[in-house]
Amino acid sequence: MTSHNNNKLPTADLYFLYSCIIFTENLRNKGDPGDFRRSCIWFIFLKIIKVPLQIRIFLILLGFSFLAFSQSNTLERDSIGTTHHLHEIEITAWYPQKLLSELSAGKIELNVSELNSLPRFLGETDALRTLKLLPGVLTTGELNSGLYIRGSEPSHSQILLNGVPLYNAMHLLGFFSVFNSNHMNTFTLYKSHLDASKGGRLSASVEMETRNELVSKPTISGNVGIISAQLTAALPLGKKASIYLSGRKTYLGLIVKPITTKTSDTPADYDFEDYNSTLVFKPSHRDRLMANFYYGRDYFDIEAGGYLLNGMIKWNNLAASIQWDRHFDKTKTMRHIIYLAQYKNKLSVLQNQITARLPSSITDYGYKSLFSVQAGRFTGKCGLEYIYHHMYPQNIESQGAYLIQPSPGSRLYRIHEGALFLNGEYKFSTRLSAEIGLRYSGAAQLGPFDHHTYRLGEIVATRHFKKGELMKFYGGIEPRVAIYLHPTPSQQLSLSYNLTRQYIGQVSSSSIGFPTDFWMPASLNIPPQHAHSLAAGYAMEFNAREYEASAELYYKRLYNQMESAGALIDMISQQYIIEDKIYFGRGNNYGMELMFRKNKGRLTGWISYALGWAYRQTPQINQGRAYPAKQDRRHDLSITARYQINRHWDCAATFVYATGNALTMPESLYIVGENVLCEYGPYNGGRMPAYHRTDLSVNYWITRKSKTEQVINFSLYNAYNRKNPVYLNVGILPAKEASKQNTYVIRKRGKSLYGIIPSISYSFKF
Amino acid sequence: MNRHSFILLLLFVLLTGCQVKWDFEIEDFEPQIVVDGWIESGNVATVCLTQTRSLNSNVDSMTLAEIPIRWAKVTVSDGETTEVLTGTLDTNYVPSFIYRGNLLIGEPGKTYTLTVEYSGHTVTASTTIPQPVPLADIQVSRCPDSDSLYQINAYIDDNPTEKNFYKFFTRVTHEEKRFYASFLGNIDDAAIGNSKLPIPVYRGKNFIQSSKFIPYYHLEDTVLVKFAHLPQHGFDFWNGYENEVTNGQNPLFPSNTNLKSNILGGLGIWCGYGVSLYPIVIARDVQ
Repeated sequence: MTSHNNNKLPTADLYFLYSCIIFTENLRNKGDPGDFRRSCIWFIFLKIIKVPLQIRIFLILLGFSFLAFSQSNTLERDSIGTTHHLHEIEITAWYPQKLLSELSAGKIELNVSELNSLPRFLGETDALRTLKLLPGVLTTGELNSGLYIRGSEPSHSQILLNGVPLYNAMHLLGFFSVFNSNHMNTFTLYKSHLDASKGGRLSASVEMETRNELVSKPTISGNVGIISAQLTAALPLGKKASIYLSGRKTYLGLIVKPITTKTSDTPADYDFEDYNSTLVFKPSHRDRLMANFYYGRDYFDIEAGGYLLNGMIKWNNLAASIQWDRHFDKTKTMRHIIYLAQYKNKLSVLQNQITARLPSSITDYGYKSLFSVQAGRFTGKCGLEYIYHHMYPQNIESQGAYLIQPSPGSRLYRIHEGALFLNGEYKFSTRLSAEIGLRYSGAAQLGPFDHHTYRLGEIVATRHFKKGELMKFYGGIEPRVAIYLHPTPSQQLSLSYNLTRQYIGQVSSSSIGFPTDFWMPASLNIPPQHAHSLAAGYAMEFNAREYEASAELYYKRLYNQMESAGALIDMISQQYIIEDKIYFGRGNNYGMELMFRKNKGRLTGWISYALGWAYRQTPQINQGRAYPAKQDRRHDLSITARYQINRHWDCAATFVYATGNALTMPESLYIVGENVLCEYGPYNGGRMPAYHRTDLSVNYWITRKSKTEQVINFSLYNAYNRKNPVYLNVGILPAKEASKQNTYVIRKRGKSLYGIIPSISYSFKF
Repeated sequence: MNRHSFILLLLFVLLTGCQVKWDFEIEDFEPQIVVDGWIESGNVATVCLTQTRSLNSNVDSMTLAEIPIRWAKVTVSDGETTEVLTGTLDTNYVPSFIYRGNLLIGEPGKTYTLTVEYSGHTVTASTTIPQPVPLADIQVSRCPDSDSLYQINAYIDDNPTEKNFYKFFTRVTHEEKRFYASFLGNIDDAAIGNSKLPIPVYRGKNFIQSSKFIPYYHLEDTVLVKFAHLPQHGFDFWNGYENEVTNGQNPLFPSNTNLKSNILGGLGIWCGYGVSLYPIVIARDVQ
């Protein structure tokens, strides 16, 4: 699509229609009909003076938001006379809460405050690690930060912090998630049916909500572990506002650097930190405003003496948002979120005064609105979403060296992604309900951009796109359907179909979800991904909800899946053209998940098991034949149990077993130029050994009340010291025996990072 | 089981740990012929013939004596003249057995076909020798961050109207008996552009010294730098080779693709090089 039909985009009219929906919503709440006329005049006026479409929409929405807000204040003042104030009553008691929400096929909510009862890794509680104990969320080993859900790549799952996407949610190469659990309230995982308000990813959505209640007294909570400490303060700011402030920092660098400096010729340093703040403001009982901020950063530095080389990698996440929730009445709510999200990573190598850098970044400016209404048996939702992606995919830069050349021209991709959605759920009877959603999403790449055509690595033609010129537009409808049947009140059958579209994808240049894996948008040469998903589930409760069981079947057909074909060395020896290093293919994920839970009594916990297949088919790989995806996982078993000994002591254990990842196995070796080379078998045709481990923990609760807690946690991670390999190492070494001159030992072994890791930590809340 | 034996059992499990066995079940392995052959401008053809070694679980060692193929018929032809190369013991190479020509001398612009016949198998390959390109300049300097290490930098005058690929080989004469592929020494001229910045010529690497490899030079080293102009199939092979040698054991950016070979029916490389040779002495007065 070329620039001349830029103004014919259907999205402009759809956005305008959306403005009308907002108006109608306002009108129903005693808005002024003149507002609609005014907004139309403003919209047309802004168009005449050629204000860009996005700014037009933004200004109109802003206007409506202020209008609604001023009305809410008027209503609030009118209703003051009828407000009744209750005296605060504090009831102090302790009871064990459920870690997971009620069982519902495809949706699981994690109660973050209960995470303390599970075994910890290096003294840290971690919600994302706990998610990996659930069915369908694959167990990953050490050095792998990804969230693999139902055979999908991590980039197919969206991680949202108060509605703001986070692009790399792990610290320390996957050991910790970036979420400070004291700052969080709930984690909700949607893995089967995504209603029409959820989109932008093919597979799943993990939504995290920070604590958002007003506090009447200052509270402080924290955790001191063996490698890091965290602190959260909740402070009242008058009667209508509170602020939560959290910080976490590791002291790992203080330990690692002196040790590596003394014991090896490759001294290393590592540091991470993250900060959260949430300001909650409730101007009225109908309105809540929240301002959220998150910043997290990792830094790793290593020196290689013999090569006179210093390598450094740093990556950081930033999320900032303002959210306004309004409850018009018990049946109607609306939410607006405006946000900024950013993920940056930079690998730098300094050698002999030559610097090479490999930066990549993604910055999103987004807006999302959601209106919900409930009328009798009907629950409806509608809204829109707009994101301006400012993406700088991996690109090599250098100073002082000729060998490493930046790719010519600007590599900045400007992508405008938007969606309109409408979703309705109707309860036909107590036994049958259905949900139907429709989402229209689209993404446009706009200039300025120099699009090069290459032949043999050299530019043979360049097309210049002007600022704001439409280069490519992709869009389509995403229908979502779900049917729920309750044969009895304690049983649920569900069936769902989803078509999902994804306009940005992650290119993995590493094998383990390294932070340098970068994001690429759907653009002139890169098509967007989409998937058809089918899921069928059955869930039941029995013995007065003491036990719950569920089973689910799923099938996903994925299109335009990206496989990276680039080698690190290609960036150095030749002109690096990212688009040439990405192959596109199709995929199939299918499988079954089972879960059994015990919710009551001293012993609680769950067993989850998943049986799955994940295949990909790419014309350039494996002669076009289907091959297993790296995360193809036949069996994945997790057992989690916690036992309440008494008021002061409890203990917990987890066991995980997972089939090894698929990998391309070397089958033979040979020698050329006095170096050993491997000849590899079929792509992803081999398997790593199975991954399994047990974690144990004991908690001693010094105090355990609703508002004060002190607990000491003892944990054993990988309690039976299993050496789970992270990667395969193949090579030859000269035999040590003198009699075996010119004989070489062929070394084939899995390298593991560590065995058993004990830890102790102290957590508190005052 | 009483309490003490339970604790002892627990301690035993914790202390002994669990070592992981990684099974390599390679079915139907058949050794493949590996060619490491070249013909340079102004020189005779040289071919090292070896065979692949299985990585099956029951194979845990190899001797250098069992790898070379000694009884093959190796023929090189330029289209007019055909020569059968002679197999000979040469301790300058590892493994120490090579096939060398005597009659055909490499000429730029000519195409050379290699045929290897061994044990009922025939492998073939073809290559062309490009015109040698002399370096614009070559310089030695002390590494800025070291008192004892030196680096060599080269400058190339690339013809922008042609598509060219280049490669460096190095040999430190008092330590090495043959040339090795220079570390990061493969260059696609598209990466040079119009740049006149220096190209570092790192020392070559081999598996015996790979654990203590330093890509720089020492004082009083005499270094032979061979600058080769090579065809694209040679560059493609050596580029993959570099990745395999450098990242074969890198857990973060693993190499797991087979090298692009021009050997039909086998593995390896048969490549023509248009070469220019530069002897460099690392002297004390270099800054």
